[in-house]
Amino acid sequence: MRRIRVIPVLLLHKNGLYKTVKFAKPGYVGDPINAVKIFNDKEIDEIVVLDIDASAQQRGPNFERIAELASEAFIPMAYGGGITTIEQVQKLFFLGVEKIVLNHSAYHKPSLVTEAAKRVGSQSVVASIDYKRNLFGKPVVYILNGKESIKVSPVDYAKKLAELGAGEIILNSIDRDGTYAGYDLETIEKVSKSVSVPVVAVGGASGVPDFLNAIENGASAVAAGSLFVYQRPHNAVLINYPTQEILKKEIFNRI
Amino acid sequence: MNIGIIDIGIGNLRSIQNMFSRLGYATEFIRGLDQMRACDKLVLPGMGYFDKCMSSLNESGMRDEMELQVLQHQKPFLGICVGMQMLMRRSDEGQEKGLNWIAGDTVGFDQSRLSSNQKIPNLGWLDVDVVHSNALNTDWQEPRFYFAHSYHAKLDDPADEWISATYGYPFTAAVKKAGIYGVQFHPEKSHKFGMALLKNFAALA
Repeated sequence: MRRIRVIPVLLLHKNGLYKTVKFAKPGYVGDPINAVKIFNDKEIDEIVVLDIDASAQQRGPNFERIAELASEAFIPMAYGGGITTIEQVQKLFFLGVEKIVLNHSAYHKPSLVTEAAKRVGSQSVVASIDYKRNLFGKPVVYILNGKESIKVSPVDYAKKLAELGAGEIILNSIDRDGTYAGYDLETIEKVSKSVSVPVVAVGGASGVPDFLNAIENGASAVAAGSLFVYQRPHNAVLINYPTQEILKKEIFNRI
Repeated sequence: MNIGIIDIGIGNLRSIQNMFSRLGYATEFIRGLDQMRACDKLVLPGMGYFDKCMSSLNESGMRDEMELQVLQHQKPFLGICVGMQMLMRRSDEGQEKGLNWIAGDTVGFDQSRLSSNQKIPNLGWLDVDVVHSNALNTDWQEPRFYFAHSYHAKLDDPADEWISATYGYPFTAAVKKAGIYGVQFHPEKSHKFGMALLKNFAALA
């Protein structure tokens, strides 16, 4: 039996927990601490917490808030948002963060990826890639919550980030964010094949069968936002996570 | 009943403290010799580069006292992640010598034995097998733990192997010799299974 990680991604915005659709229309989900507590009780594999305001507001991580979240997470917690210095990286690890996620800084200050990997080990340095397809259907990487194109393909960018020292790539499809349209399997396959480090698929998951698709197309782990905080069809807030029995039956014993 | 978490400036000390604290055990971050002498048990977290962890320990001025407390006074000791790799003679990851408390080396994953979908670093949860049972693995049911590593221990003496896990091939996931325990995985991030392990460690005589 091969286990793969199934990871909820939580977005911090205006001091609350929010969920976006295509990186826009942030909808309020609730109190982040409460959500982390519930996920922790569900014995989830890992959690990713992203402060989507930090880089846009040109400020650093909210350490107090992160420490509170980490103290409730007896599971690996990755944090991203506003990290620009190695001192911030060290402080985050001391507070109980297991991995840092670099996105804006990975582009504007690539030396930080390398420096962080040397300090804390590449297994704890995650680079996240947000991308969307252009008019011709070609995937292009964006930074600043999907606002600014950096005119490079996810494959080329992933290779560069892995060379810099990132030990994991989070590959986030902006087009599919919050849509339940399924993962972008084509890009997942291309990026996974192009780097030797694990790739985490995000964007579009509508259920456990999508996880299996992503893994069969090369992802090492799967992540989702809406799926784990909403209950369809009306998107009522409901923190949820598949049971071990379902994951074993539907994925672990099939791959 | 004092548990000391050795602070060499590396690692997620607060996570370990958080879990002990949830279990009802007080811990102290150890930054000096008196503090270390006053503790009943020691935890050595390690993270990142082997050389950086070893040189930080050597430069901390606490190494000799730690060896005295553990090897002579036999205080229970738990090394976590690189804190376990430091128990070996050496590591493929660097040039520094290890503590050499347990005979063996830390080696990189043999990539020729991994399939293309088994990437390095190994990040994730693995089901584990207890090879030689001890007090720390009581109350475990279908245990699984969180791993984040590219290197693993390779022991000279199989009798020192406590837990084995499989990633491409079986590797040593935890070691135990006398009162010295070392785990490659992160109990502090492995919810109920980690809690059971740390609880058992805290309860050791």
